[in-house]
Amino acid sequence: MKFQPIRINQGSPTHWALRVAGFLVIAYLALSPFVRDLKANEFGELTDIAILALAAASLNLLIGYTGQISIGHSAFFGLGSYTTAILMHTYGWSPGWTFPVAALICFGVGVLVGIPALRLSGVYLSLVTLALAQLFPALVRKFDDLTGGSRGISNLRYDPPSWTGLDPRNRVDRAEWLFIVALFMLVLGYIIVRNLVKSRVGRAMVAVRDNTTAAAVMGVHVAVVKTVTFGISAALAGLAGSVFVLRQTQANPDNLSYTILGAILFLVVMVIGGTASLLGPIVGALVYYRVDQYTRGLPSKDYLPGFVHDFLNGRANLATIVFASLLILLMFLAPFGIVGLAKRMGRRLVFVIPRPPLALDDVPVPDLEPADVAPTPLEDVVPSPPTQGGSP
Amino acid sequence: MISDFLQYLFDGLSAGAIYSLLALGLVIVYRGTGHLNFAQGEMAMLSAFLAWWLSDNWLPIWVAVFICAAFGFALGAVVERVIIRPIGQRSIFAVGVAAIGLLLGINALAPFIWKVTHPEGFESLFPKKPTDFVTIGGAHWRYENIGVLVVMLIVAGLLYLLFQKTKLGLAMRAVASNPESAPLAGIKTGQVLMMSWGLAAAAGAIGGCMVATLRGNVEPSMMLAIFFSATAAAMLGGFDSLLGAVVAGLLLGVIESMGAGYQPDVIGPELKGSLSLIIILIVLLFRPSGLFGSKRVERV
Repeated sequence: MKFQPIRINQGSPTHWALRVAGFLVIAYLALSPFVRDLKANEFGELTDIAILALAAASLNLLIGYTGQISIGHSAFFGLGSYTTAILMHTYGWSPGWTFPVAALICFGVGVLVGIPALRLSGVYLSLVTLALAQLFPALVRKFDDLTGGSRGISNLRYDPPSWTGLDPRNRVDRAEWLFIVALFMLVLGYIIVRNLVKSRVGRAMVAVRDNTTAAAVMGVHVAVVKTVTFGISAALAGLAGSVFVLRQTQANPDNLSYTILGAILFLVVMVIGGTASLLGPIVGALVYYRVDQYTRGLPSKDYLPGFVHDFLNGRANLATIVFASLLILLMFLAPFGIVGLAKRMGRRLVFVIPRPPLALDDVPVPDLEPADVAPTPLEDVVPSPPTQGGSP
Repeated sequence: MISDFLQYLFDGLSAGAIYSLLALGLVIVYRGTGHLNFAQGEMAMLSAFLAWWLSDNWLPIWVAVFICAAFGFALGAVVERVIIRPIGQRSIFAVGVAAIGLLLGINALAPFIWKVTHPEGFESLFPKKPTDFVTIGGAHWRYENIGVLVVMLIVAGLLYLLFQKTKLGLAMRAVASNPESAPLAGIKTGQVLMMSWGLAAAAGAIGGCMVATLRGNVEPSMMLAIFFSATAAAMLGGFDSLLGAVVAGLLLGVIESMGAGYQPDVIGPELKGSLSLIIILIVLLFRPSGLFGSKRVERV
């Protein structure tokens, strides 16, 4: 006998109860770091996860919703980092004010990149963005009087302002403050992406993704949608980069996150979580970070038998190999990512019946005058001489 | 002056020959299955490591290179059959991600297998003494640079003969031009695609050995930047023409060499590797399907 899922109407009290329960679980998970006493490195890990999630979310907006593939978001990530670093280091700005500037600059550059990207799609677009990723560290090294070249810019600290009540001299408090900043940016990014996607603009984006020509025929301004999405996505990646540079406390072109590997990492995190899913990037970042952390510590785990230790001795990179295998395996099992998989599983348990856009009794029924429905007299059908603004 | 020019030309031609070898593989795969094989460079790197290991322990270097090409062929065919094809039936995007997974995995696999932490010396395939060059117009054309160019031309020529003169090549062209109708004509599409991936990886493996020969060593990151330039070459050549890949590869190699040589301040070593990507950026702005590519018509 086949298991029948529980069917719930969208917007019914049961549905709302489920939503509230889900929200409470998430709120608990999000707030528990503040309830428990965390160590500085635990706050650091959470900060890294939030940064990764924001970068992946920026990519999700671009790839998941408009179908423009970018393997170059490390460039925007780095641009955000360097904007913050240069403004702080050379111009003595306070870190908080550099965030909007970094976002604006990245938005501008993103739109500029988005314009040539209009003519390209698929593999061609991915190569152009890849060129961007490859170019960024080279440019940083080239303009070394601005960026500090290979030495980079160091000593970038973001001390908690006095109104937070956090002590700037305390390591844990500094880490907590940075986590709050990262979480704020992540929530901001989530809200921006969510509101975009759930709006008219979002439907236009999805239409562009699914069939560009058809979208244009339906009246979507394809060029504007594509370039502006590119810009917003770049701005979010730049914000992530801004927080990242504060977490690293230094900007250096050798940092792997600014190279093509960073771009690949963001892409992979997004795919793990689930393409075109709002929660996907957050879940992806959490899972990636924890799996990576676990596999990195794997060679020193005590419960492995001795010959495994002997085999692993001197062999680096186990973590990357395990991760790459898991990624390929995931593409076999669930190319739609973890959130996509969870949704499919969840649908077998609970099926939410979507509410039609307008309930039937809400639809205004036009009052028809009898004359409107009366059959047209025959003589009117016979073509009459064209009047003003005549029929085509 | 002319000697400088010739010197940049000779250096660029051998760098370009390597781009061409990898680009040939990319084009063969793209024609067959429409995927950009992100792992092409890393598969070549793994093959080159095998050649290094064999030649370092037992075999003469040329034998090792042939075995490594055969290994590359097998690797490509297995990857197509085991990973690319099953995933491709689900989603094209997932194939790209899986190929990126392969890139990361294989890149980590080579040092994992051979426990290498630093570049390992690679025995040269060609005479490599400081005096091994011919002088043309005051420029030194080293034997190894000539050798790499000749190897590339031989591989490209063999591939051309295969595609144009053999039944297998005919089948491969048929699958490339119309994958739906090819099986109706009795062509075993699956086998043809495996062959395509195998040939592509074999060409890449030879390319990897050439890179190792010119560098004089092997290391895991040796193919990364070269792969990007090779992708640019494949794209410049239009992604569906073997001749285009060869010409574009050589062209990009020469342009990179000349650019870095004549404009040491503007381009210099920092931007040399990115020059081909900048060029492809500009070319794609004006010709979205590359220099030799055929226009794609899309029906809605």
